Amino acid sequence: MIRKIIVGGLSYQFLSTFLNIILLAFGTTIISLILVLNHAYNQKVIKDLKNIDLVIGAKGSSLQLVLSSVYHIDQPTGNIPMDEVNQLKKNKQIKSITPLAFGDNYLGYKILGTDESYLKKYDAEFTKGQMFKNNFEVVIGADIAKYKKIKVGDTFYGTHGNINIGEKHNDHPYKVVGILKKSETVLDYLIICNINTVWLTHHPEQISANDSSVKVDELTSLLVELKSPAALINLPRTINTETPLQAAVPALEINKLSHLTGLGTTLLEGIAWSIIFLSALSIFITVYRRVQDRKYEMAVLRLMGATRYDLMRIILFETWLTTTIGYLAGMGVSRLGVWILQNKIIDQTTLTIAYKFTPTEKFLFPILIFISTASVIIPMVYAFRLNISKILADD
Amino acid sequence: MIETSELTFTFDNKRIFTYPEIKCDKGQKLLIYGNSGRGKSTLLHLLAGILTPNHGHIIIDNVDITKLRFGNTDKYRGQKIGFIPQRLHLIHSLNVQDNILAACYFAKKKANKDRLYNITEELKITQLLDRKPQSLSLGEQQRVCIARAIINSPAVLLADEPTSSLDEKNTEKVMELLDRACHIDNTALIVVSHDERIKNSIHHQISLL
Repeated sequence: MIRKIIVGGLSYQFLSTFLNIILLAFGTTIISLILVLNHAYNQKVIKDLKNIDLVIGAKGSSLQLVLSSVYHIDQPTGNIPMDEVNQLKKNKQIKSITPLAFGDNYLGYKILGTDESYLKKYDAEFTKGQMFKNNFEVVIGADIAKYKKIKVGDTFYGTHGNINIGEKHNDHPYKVVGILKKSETVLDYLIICNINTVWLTHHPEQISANDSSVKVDELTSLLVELKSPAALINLPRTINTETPLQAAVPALEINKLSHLTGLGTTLLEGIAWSIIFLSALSIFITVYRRVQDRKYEMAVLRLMGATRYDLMRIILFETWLTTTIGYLAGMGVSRLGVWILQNKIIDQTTLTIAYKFTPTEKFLFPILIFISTASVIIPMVYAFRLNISKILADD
Repeated sequence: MIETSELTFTFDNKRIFTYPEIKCDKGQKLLIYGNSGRGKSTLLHLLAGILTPNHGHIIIDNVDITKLRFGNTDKYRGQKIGFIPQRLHLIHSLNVQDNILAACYFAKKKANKDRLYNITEELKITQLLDRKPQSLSLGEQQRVCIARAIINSPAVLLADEPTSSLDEKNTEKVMELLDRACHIDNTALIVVSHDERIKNSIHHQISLL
């Protein structure tokens, strides 16, 4: 019965109820999408930065160095001589160095020369095949295998540069020996081989030589793990001033970037919350007017034995129902948005967006319920204090 | 069934109404008669527990409702008192059947379909059960209000000026309906009115001067 009364109440002045739901849904959608994207971005930034304290490469833009060597979304700043790398290896503040060499791609996916330590950073696991052992053997990321339908045993030729329209290297094909498990890190869209492979691709004259006689003279960059955070203060400065190399602290570079993009996010969040508060105001006005318009019905309910608390309960449930519908509609649209982003816009690229609730999103519903409840306190008090005798006598 | 003693009520902190003792047993009818401004409706609201008297007792079915507190008065009203307001207010979003059964819900009584059928048959509104109140004539609405007031087998039925806006023929009809409604459960009936025409229908009368 109370359900019928509540639904009946909401259908009274249906357009106002509808407006409230739309406002709530709209605010929820925007907030939820911001939270989802922010979460995906932060997760990615954090995951890809795992165990990387410093990036060392050729001099140039420090942000470019980080973007190219950690996130693989920019051109490298140049190459670094092997002699300098060997010098660095002697540095006692350094715990480990992961060498990186790159410059080619296959179908737009970067071919990255490195060693096993790179895969270990991201706790890589194989779904099929195994780690590369020989030159020109490659391990591919889960997304590449999925979208380009590549299997273990397939072979292909790489293309010079970052994108798929460069000069093709036809000297030696790559052979896929392993496919990595999805890790939601940068590994998912990389083609990984050993350093020699990258070197030989660009120095084909050495291909026939024995492995031991391959002499790699240059690398693209290094991912460095330090023994203690204290080294972060001095080591980059020393490298930058005393060597031809450049050391960048990726966490700092990403902070700078987030600071810029964060402004837009904050603005959007502000707009979304304004919409939510606007909907709270709209709920207040609607419910207050509805209670005034229906005071005779309220009086009748009291005549039938409804208590003052029953009236408050009816108003509260009407509001919660509106809020829940608005919230669900908003989340529905937000998930549709995620689906569109995943399948139509971001497709196979750098950001993995999940349908599941982000940690902050879990608080969204309680917050909405709290705000809408607060907005109907005055109408509830009005209903509580209705003078039934006066209403009936005013007839 | 309903009995009051030493009932007084101060209206808007100005006028003090002092009411004579009222007693109406099971199956009896009582007309409280008086001109406007004599506190007739106020008395009915006191009897229904909508207002609380300054002094005095109102005993309905052996319970002094002036001693009930908070929601208990409302619950007791739902279970023991049927009230037919002067203007016929029904809940617009509910159909006739739900309007009547809502009284069971709030009185925390089980909705009995047989009883609903008996009452609506007696009041000749069974065919209206699926209709919305807006589509009913005034006479039909009044019957629905009566059905709603007696669905829970109240100990006492209170009617506020039930005939004030009716012509002679309809006045008779309504009085007959109230009679029939009370007859179902042998309910005590108290009518407040200034309508001279119903003096003949109810012989037990109290005049408010």
